[in-house]
Amino acid sequence: MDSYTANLVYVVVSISLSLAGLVLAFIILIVSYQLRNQRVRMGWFLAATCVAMGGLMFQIAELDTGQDDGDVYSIFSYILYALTGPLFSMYFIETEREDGEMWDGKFWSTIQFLVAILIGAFAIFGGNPYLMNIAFLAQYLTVLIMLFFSSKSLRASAGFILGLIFPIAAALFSMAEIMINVLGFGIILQLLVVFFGYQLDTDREVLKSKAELSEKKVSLLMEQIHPHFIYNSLQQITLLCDEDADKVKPAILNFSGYLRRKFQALTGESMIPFTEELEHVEMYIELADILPSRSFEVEKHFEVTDFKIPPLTLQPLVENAIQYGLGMSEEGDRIRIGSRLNRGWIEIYVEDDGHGKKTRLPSQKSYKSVGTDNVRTRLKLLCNGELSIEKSESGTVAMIRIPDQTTEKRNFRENE
Amino acid sequence: MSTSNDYYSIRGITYLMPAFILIMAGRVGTAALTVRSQGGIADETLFRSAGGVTLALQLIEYILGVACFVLLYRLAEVHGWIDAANTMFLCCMLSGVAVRVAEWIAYKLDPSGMAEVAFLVAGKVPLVFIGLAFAFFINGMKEVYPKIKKKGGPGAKDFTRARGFWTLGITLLILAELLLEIFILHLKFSEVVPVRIISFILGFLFILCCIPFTLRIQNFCYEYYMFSYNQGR
Repeated sequence: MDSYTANLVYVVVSISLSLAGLVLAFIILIVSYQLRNQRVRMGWFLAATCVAMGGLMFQIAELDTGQDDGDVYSIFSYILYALTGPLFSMYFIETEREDGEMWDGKFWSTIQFLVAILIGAFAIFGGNPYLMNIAFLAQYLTVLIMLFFSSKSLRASAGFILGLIFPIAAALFSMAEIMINVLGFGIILQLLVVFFGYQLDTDREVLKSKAELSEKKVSLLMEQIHPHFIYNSLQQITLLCDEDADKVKPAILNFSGYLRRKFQALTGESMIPFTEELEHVEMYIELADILPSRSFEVEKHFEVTDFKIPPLTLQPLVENAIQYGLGMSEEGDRIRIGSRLNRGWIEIYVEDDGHGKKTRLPSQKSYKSVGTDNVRTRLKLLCNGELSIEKSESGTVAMIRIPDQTTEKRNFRENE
Repeated sequence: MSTSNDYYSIRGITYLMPAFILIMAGRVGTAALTVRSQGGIADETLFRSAGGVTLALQLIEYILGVACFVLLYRLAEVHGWIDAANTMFLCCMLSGVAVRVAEWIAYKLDPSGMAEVAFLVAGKVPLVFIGLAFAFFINGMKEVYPKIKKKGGPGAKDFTRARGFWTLGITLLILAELLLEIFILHLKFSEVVPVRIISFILGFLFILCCIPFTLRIQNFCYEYYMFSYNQGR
């Protein structure tokens, strides 16, 4: 084959692959744009697809404009391909974060961006194409290393590995056959495989968990409206009218405030400031104080309050501590409520010095607690939080742990 | 505001949208300069022009366009109009790529110049989508602002005025681009009519029209952030 025919074959193959890549990019963009459930991670994914699509566009221009003039468009396409790697990594890091892992991703994304800058410099200053392709390989091998350290299941990992094969193979092919640039096509195939092999599945899971959250809300509604508590409170307020009339007004205000908060929390769909949940807790404690139960003291120690929490997560724990921790035995008279920062997590604890696990009281039923289960599920679904309950000889400690996202918000406000 | 990271989007959009507008105006402006010095803005001419600034701005504009699109995607839940603006950005990106690729291929097959004529108007389709995207975004801000109820903030009239300025600005920019291309096709006229002065004036007016709009974006984003934060979202 003479050099003219060979060149013609290279151009035809390159243009065909670039056009096929463009068509696939269009399809991925249009389909992935329809997904509206995980906007942060999908944002990174869309950015990676758009950037790869731009690279393919400039690659076609490069082939069109000839050998000398095409250099600038070639540089553009390499710069855009180099950016695709870090954007895909950000998508990957976001999948981990949304799965509840505490990846800040700064290390990995910095490596990726540094390699992207290196590729850009190679492209602009006419560096060796082999070195450029090695840099591309390094970008995608970094994603493989990230995958190794991630918490992905075997199935999800397989999807990612299958996707990563394409850009790695494309970089290797470009090193072997320097006239044909298949990098863009490889990147698009990777995005295609990851989207249909992984992202669509997780999107279905999100929809499922949303449905689960709705179900939990209904069960929470049913569980939280304790008719007995309402009857007892009203009865006790009636008794207060005869015993101490001055206390009636604040008691009624407390009761109505407590109910209002409860219904607001049940109808709202998002997180609320922690201080609002604390007000709800206060109202419950003051209301519990007028009921004919054991007397108790509440100690509070809050190191941090500027954060958000799913509604009705702390109040049920305090209610449990009063009703079951102290209320069902003669032991203990103290409840400690507090919050603190601990290694990127906000910990909220409710401790009581009641009977703990010393004895199983006759009044204790052996059923799975629907209330704490509900709190646990909503913490997980709404803010990737956790709930642990430890019973010991000295009492019970219920601990909520949620990721700390307040520091960045404070920075935002300070900068503004 | 379904996710906790959306304050990045709100903050990012305050800078990215004005930057996108400036780069867009800059690209048209430098293209006018290239017409003056080289007699056209075909790819070959651009490569030979000093530094290829217009080409570099094309790349930056594309990257900024992607960034604006993604941030709007993350903010689309704020209001239906903002969602519509986001869709317009997507249409702009897709149509931009499709038109340019079709233009390059057509030019390759028919280098006589007919392809340039064919894509004279088609090339402006992405710009029309951009115009609609920003107009929808202003409409979204106008609809959301009363809900924020910030005393002392701009009222609905300010947004209507901003939208008017934007519509005028984008029309001027499209006119400037069309004028440029028409003059390139008939280079003889450019000797009679001062192309670069007309383009410069139109570009300058475009930037002037964008000032009230960009200020509204900045105010809105900050107020909306504070509002959503205080709402506990």
